[in-house]
Amino acid sequence: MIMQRHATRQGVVATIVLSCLLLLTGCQAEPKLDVLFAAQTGEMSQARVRLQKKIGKQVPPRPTDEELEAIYDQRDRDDEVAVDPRSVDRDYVLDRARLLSLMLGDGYNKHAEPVALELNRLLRTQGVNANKQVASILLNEDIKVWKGEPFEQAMAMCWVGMHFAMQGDWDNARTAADNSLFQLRDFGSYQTEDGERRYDTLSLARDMAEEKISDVDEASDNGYQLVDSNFVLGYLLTAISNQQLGRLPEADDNYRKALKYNPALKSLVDQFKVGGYNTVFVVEYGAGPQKQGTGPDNAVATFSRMTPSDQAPVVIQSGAAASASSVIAPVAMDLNNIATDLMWNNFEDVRLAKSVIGQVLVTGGVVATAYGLQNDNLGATLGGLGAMAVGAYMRSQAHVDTRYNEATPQRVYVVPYNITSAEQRLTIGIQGKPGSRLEVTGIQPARAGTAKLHYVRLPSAFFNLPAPWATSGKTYYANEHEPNAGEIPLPYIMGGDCVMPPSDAALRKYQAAGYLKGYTLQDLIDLYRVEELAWETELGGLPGLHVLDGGDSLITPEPGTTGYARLMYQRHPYYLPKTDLLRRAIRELPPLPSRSNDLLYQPPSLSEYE
Amino acid sequence: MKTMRPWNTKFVTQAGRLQRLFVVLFCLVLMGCQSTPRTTDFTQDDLDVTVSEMAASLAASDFLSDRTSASPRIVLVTNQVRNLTDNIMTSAERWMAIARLQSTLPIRTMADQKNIVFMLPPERVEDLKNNGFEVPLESTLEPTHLMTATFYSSEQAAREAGDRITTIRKNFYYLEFSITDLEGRELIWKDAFEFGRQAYGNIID
Repeated sequence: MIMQRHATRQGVVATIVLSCLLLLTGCQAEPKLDVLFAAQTGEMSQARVRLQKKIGKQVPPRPTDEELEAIYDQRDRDDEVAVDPRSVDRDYVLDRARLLSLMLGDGYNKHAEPVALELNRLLRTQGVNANKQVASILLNEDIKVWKGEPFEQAMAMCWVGMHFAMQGDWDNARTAADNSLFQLRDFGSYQTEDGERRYDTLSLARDMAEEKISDVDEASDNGYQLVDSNFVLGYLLTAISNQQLGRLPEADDNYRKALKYNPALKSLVDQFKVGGYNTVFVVEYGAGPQKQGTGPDNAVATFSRMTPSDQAPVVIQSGAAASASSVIAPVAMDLNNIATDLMWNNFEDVRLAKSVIGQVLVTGGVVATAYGLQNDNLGATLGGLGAMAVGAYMRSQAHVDTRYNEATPQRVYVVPYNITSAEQRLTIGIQGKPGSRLEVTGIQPARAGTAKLHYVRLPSAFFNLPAPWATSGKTYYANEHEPNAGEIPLPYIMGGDCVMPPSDAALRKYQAAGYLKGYTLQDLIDLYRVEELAWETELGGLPGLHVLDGGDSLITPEPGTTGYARLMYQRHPYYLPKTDLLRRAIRELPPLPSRSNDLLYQPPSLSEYE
Repeated sequence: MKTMRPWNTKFVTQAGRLQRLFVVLFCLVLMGCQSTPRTTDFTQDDLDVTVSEMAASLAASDFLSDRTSASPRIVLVTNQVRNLTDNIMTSAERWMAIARLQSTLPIRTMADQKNIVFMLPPERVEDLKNNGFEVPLESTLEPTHLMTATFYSSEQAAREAGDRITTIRKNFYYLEFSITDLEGRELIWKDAFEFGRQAYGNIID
């Protein structure tokens, strides 16, 4: 009887421990959904500002003495950015890669330089995780600072290059694009019943586990060939940059390599070579593949497709539909294909080894526990459970690091174009995907004989209908780029349609329409200041959430971007004053006219302001 | 009265010996942990050394060797700084390198002795100021000569013996300067200066 109770107690303990072990296994990093959502819908501002706030508190993976001193100084000055210099943010690089992509799409490229430079610095720094190799074997991969899979690093380098090319700085664009073209490790092919197939992570891991590859160490160290990159976007950007710098042999060489890996680009490359373009559109579309752990203990990394691949070209249409002229360009690079190619993935031998160790320990533990329970041997049972606990803990930690950059697109297009004037209205979209359409205007033509890159992130979350703002064709708010837009020439914060920062020109416009007659520029500035609104950033600062989104910034995104379209091509809720000074100023205004054809957004009544 | 213990083996106890051994080991560990270069990006020091070499080369050139402070004035404007390295240099950094070059002691001394005025294009001076750099006031004289600067680099990557991954990266930088006489459209001076940088650690990770 006593023995039976004893055995029952052991059973209960074993059940509890096993339940805990089951819970322990299968933990994986979840994708950052706000970044994924932002990149697919075009609603990038909120996620961008969240990331900006986060990186304001991050400590670099390898702070230098000077950086540590600066962090301590900053901590002394400002409690809000108090950080522990001893801590290391493992998402330091990942967050910057996410942020740079969102800033390009949201129209804040000019402010993205500190982000681009820091991202470049970290990607160029070798051995960021040098002191974490042992820990990652014993614990897990995600204790390491994320530097991404090789293709994610190449993509991040291209974004850095695009950042510079958008400002006409083709020197640095060339540098960054060229840095994305590092050599890769090709593990070759294996034989199947259907013929030869190229190794992917899973098949290589399986062959190693089944000992079809006899010497795993030898295979992982020397069983590959170093091959040239097939990152077509990098070749195209390097070629275009060299062409802009007048280095034509280098440009030709890179165009040739782009064609080698994507022959469908032949006519596009010919157009580039002829020249005559003043704008290079880089159009990104779709959700890039999601990184997941599969196989035993989620120890093998795979990328699963989110937006399916196809060959639909991008269409850039100028003017009204009846008389429109169109430029059509094929897909330059499909990230779905790149991500699933073993050459572009980190080698997962360590992860596999960890999984095997965990497997062995757990198997041994199960045997011992079963023996103990059967023979009522408390020592054997507890020993077995201990081994299982250790094994299961290692298994739970042995999962692959599934952090990835959710802002990565599924495909990229590169298109030469000739913008004739800033008033030119363009509709950009993927053929056969009406939900991707985006109308843009206000893109300044580059100086004669030069070209600028223009980045557009097309929405992909809408299937058959584009977002209303994406094709509204109407600018609802006056801003620095379109000062005459909007219906009521009065500051937005006073119920009008103008989000220009305070200036003489803006004030003259309001006064010509009969508003703010007795105001000086300083009076106008004071109104914005007391409401704590900002229209410029400190050197190296990043713009906050725009006032139209409920934020405190009057910094307008660059026209022709998704961020500008989303902000300016739709109505936003009216502004709610924070101070009595603004409320008094609003009370003194004459009655505001009704807005045409816009019942939902009539000027608010004074009682609403109260 | 506190007396200093003489550093004599007589007083070194077993514990003391162990203590000293630990100190030595600790120092060795520290030396081992001393930070190795992780990036091949060049530094301000590299540029400073190059500037000194460039000033010496320019002063010794045929173009300047016979000039004195009484020679007709030369107004030398740098009109292009091109970065063709693997190392990103912002526009402000590129022009700041030239501004620093022009304000170094050897160059200023040479400018006085040879009656040369070094200038930056006005729009670049404005850019530098907007980026928070302090730039001395520039005169606006008609240029007689143009200077261009081009920075090149080449990279080598290799595995160190016994390493499983690419661990060594070397970058060779090559900074080329040239001066053209605007009147005769003639290249009158050209020289290049080299330095290298080496970094260790897994390139991908």
